[in-house]
Amino acid sequence: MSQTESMNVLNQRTILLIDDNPDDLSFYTDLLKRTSGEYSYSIITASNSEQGVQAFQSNDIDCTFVDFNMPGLDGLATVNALQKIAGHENVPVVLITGEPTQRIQANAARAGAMDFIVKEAITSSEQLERVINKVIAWATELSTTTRTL
Amino acid sequence: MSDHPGEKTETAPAVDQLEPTDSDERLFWVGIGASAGGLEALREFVGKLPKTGLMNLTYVVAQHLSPTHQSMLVQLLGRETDIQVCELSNNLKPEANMLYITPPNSDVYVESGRLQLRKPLSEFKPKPSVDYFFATLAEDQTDRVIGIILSGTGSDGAHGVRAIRAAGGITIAQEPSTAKYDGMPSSAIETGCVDAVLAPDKMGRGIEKVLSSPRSLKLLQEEHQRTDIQELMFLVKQRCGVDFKDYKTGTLHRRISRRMAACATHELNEYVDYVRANPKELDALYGDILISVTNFFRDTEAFDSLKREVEKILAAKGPEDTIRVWIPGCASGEEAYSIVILFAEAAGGLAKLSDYNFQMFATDLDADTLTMARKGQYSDATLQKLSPELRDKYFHHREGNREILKGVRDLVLFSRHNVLEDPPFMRLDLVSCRNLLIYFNNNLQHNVLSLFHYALGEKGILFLGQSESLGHSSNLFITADSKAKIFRRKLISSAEHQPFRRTSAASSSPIARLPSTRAAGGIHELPDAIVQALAPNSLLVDENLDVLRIYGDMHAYTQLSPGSASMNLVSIARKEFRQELRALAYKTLREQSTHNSLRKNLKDDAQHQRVDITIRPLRTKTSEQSLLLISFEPHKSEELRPIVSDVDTAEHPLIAEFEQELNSTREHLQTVVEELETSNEELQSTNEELQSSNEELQSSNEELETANEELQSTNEELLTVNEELQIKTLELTEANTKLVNVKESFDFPLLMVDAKQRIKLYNKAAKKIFAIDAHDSAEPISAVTSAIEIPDLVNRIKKVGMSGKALQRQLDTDEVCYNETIHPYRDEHGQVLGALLTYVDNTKTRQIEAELATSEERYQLAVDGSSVGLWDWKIAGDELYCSPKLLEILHVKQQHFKPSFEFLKERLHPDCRDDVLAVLSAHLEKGFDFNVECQMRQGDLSRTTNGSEEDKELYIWVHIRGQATWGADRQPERMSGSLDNYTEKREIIDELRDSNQALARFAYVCSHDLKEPARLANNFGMLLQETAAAKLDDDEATYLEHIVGNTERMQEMIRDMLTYAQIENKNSVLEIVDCEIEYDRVLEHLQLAVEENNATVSRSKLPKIRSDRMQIFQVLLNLIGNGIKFHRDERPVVHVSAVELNDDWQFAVSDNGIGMHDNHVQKIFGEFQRLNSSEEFPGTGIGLSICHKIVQRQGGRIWVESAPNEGSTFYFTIPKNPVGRRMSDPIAVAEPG
Repeated sequence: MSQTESMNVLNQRTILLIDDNPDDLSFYTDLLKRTSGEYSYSIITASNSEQGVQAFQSNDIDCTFVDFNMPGLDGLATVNALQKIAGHENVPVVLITGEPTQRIQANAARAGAMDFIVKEAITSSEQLERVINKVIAWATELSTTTRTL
Repeated sequence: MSDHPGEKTETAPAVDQLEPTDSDERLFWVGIGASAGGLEALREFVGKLPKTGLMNLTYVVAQHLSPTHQSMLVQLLGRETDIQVCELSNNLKPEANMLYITPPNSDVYVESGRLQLRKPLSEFKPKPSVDYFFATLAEDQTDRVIGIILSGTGSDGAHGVRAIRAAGGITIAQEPSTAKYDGMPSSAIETGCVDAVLAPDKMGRGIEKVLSSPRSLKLLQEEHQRTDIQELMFLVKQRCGVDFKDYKTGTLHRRISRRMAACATHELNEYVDYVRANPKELDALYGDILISVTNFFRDTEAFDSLKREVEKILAAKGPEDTIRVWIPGCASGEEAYSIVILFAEAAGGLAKLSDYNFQMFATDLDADTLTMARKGQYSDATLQKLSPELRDKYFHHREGNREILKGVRDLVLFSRHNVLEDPPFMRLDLVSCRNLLIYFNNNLQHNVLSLFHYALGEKGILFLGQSESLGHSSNLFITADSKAKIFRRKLISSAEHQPFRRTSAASSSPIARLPSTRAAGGIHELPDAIVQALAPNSLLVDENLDVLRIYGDMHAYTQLSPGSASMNLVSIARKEFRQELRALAYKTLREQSTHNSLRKNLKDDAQHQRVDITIRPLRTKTSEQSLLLISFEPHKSEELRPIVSDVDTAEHPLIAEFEQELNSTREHLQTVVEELETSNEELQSTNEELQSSNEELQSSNEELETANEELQSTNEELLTVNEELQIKTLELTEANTKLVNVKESFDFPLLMVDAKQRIKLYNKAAKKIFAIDAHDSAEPISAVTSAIEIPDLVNRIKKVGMSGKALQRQLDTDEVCYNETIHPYRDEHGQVLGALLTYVDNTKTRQIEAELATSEERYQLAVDGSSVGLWDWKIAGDELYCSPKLLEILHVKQQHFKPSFEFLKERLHPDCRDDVLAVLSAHLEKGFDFNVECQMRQGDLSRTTNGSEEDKELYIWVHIRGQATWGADRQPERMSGSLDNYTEKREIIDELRDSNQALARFAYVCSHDLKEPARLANNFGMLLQETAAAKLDDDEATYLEHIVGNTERMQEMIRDMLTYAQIENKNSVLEIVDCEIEYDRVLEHLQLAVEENNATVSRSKLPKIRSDRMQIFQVLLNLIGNGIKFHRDERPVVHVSAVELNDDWQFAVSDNGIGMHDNHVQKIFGEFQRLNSSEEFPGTGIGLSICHKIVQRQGGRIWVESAPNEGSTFYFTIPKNPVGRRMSDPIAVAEPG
């Protein structure tokens, strides 16, 4: 079953946030609650990689945000884990980091994340939603010619 | 011996021989011609072939084949039958029960019993030529041929069946209704030479029937058969008007037996019954008997010899002299035209021949063949003997055949003429009668030759066929060329010559009209002895009184008179007898009884003789000629006295008178008789000439009738043409209507001008621009006023006319823009006759174009003016565009720039190249945001890098952004973005940071270093106060108080300055701050002040916000502290509250302090601003500016609402999503304290 297609009929999207910093988690949740677009978001949070992977497995997730810097499995490894579960590379997952270096950005790209955002750069719901829209659109597009791993 | 025409035998004298019995062992040939649709017919035919064993049949199929196409005919037909089917090869001797198929691209002919192939005679006609094949087959195998014509278009084979029939073979055509294409069978049937018309599957049976009829003619020799034949000939004569009784019996028998076979009758009487029941069969028999085949220049050598004779004839003629030629038995005209061509060639061309008065009479009995002859159309196969030069000279192409030139045709007069009955043409220079005489028996031949002799002028030429000879008439002609059979008319006496006699038209009973097998000369054999005994001195004369035979001694009774030689009785008899002889002879002929004359007195030297003349009529059973035997008997009588001397003229004066009178009467009578004879002769000549003229006139008449018919058919054609013309007119009208509709449907002006630039055609819309008057048809366009200026129009039109290429241009005015196009106007051959002009209003388009140009300019300006470099990458072709600014940033000159993405790639610093490319490919693949900072090398790349310090200077930091567009199936098509020199900014930032750091460090160090001395000073001051309090007087104590107070103030200031400095430099750590906790910490800090002032500090619910904890602490500390500090007399009451707004948290710290004026409100937030003296309210004055700075940095605002003595409320907002400054590298700032 394609995980990238929204099965929620009523324009609801399910977002998974994986971040060890609870302040960040609540910040993003707040932002998403305040969106004014056509979609409403239900948030699932996880504070570490394993929780996040589990949540991904047992829920129908439209888009995932993963913090890069986490104890245990870091963001890149988490991305790979999610891909394995989905069975393909085109999982709609965005890597977040507070330390936006070239290397991290490139690694995120190599790992197959669909986008890369910097914590400080996100200051409004619209920005966040734009990223979510873009990522979901791409994932849907690519799913039509999905290659299975 | 056989009487076949064309075979080289002498004409047999007397006895006619019949054809030998057919030998059953000899091969019977079945020739089949077919074309389109023939395959179907062939298959049906081949499927039902006659039973083998009946006759030795061999089949040869001449099927029109494409010269290039591989034919499957052999296989296809082989499947249908048991007999073997194979392809024909050259020089093949066919065998029985075999079917041969002609190969493509060849003509086939038969020679000496073998099938031969040759190159096709005609390039354009279908191959093989059936006519040619059949003609050669007929000639080679004569009557052992069955010719079959199957389905096909055209008329190939029509001539061929004629040839087969003429040779005695049988012909069959496919029933046209069963044929896919009925052209060939119908054409064959129309010639009248087809014996049977059958469907292909019935043909086998038909052949069987034909072959089972007896071909043996022996039966016909029986006596009772003879009567049947006579009856047949009589019937033919009755129906067709021609008497064939003098034709050669062999010919007649052959023809009759052929018709019998064709009608599938076995017995002659059966055939006669059939004929009586089906009179049309007589026409067929008639046609069969008449049939002859003629060719062009048959017997080339003979014609060569003839040519020499013709040249002689022409040489003897002067201009305007008449040349008259007669071709009896001309059939389809080949011979006639051949001879005209011969004359024309000998004269030096048709034009030269027309200098003479040339006339040719070509006659035949068969009206149908005459029609063919008049048409003058022949196939290439027929003209085969003609050299190509002659053929092209005298014929032109028509409907696939060749037609004789009109110039030749007009010289020939064709007419129906029976050479045996009708009077001949006279004063001829040449008579060519080839292969006609062979059909006649000897008697008839002789008659005809005599006729020719009579008809020919002096020195006239007779040209006979190769197998013919003069026979009995050899005395009439001199042989000019015996091989070529050319004879010259001999001048002969009437004694030798018996002029022609016409056979009487009246027919007597058939029985009596038996073909005379014996010549009239049979009488000649009457034994002389008998006559001598019975009637010595006799003459045997015919009914013209020409002497046939002389018995005894006639010298006494005959006399040669001067004048032309003659053997006529009247000419040679003695004068004395003449009149009486004549009278008596005619009397005898009339009454057919013997007559005697009175005794006549002869005076011979002194002898008188009395002669008795007795005339006896003679008639034999077999002769119809009336003959007379005139006997002269001398009567010697002594009693007789010479009458003359006895008589005394004086005694008998009456007698003398009577004698005198009688003598003169006799002389007169003689004279009269002579004159009568002369008149008679002249009359006869005149009569003959009149008859000839009549014949000629009749021929002319026939020609005129034919011409009339031709005119009528021309008239028909004209009517048809007229109808077509009307239809064409209708079409024209329709086409015109279309044109008008089309041109009017255009809403743009359309004009047509001719070669002189005159307006020929225009539509209504044209009046928008051109003031065309409806009456100005063909007005030159230069004369017409136009609504807009059209410069140089006429020249441009001329240019188009000359070059044949269209010209376009734009005519722009302020209000309107037109696109003018001038097209060349061509006729159907592509020649330019004028021009077409169109004016399309493209104002809008032009506007858009102008706007676009402006937009382009702006864009270009933007690109050029931008401080940011722009790049545009067409991914498919790897075409990269870099704006000049970008190149400037990278220190690359335009000529060194290569427009490929490599240009950018190769400049990436090795350390970051992989990362940048990874992000790029992620972007192209899945839209990963492409927003990178990396190092790129400036300048040219010639110097190699080695990672040394020097190399660092080659690189700059750039910020590259980009966005791709994707096409079908998510293929990235294009990517464009910007490239910004980040190095400067970074440097500036770095400098600033360094500077700030330096400052902060300076401030810190400064303060830190100041702090200690200040503290010490304060401590020592306070210590001194304690220890030296007693020693000091009031003033001194006051001084010390001031010192201590100021050191405290110094400390405060230093502390605040430190704080202030720290705010600037410390990294904002954005975290979730619980304001209530901070409030508690502030109260803890202010505990002393609260107690001292007896203040009441309260708060309502405070939120958790995302902010810097230390700074929130600072703000609250300052504001609450101020609230406590700046109190009035009452106890200070301070309250802290917070309210949630859309995007911010709004905090309020209110007090009941001294308040302030409005105009002070702004000032208080400035640094070091104090509204009050330090004595009243100690403070550094930095506090509020600290708050201001903190709040501002977080993106909030701070203000105060206050009035004097009414307290103040300080408000400040903290955004819910505080804007933090983006940190781009992990260079940490050293954290103070």
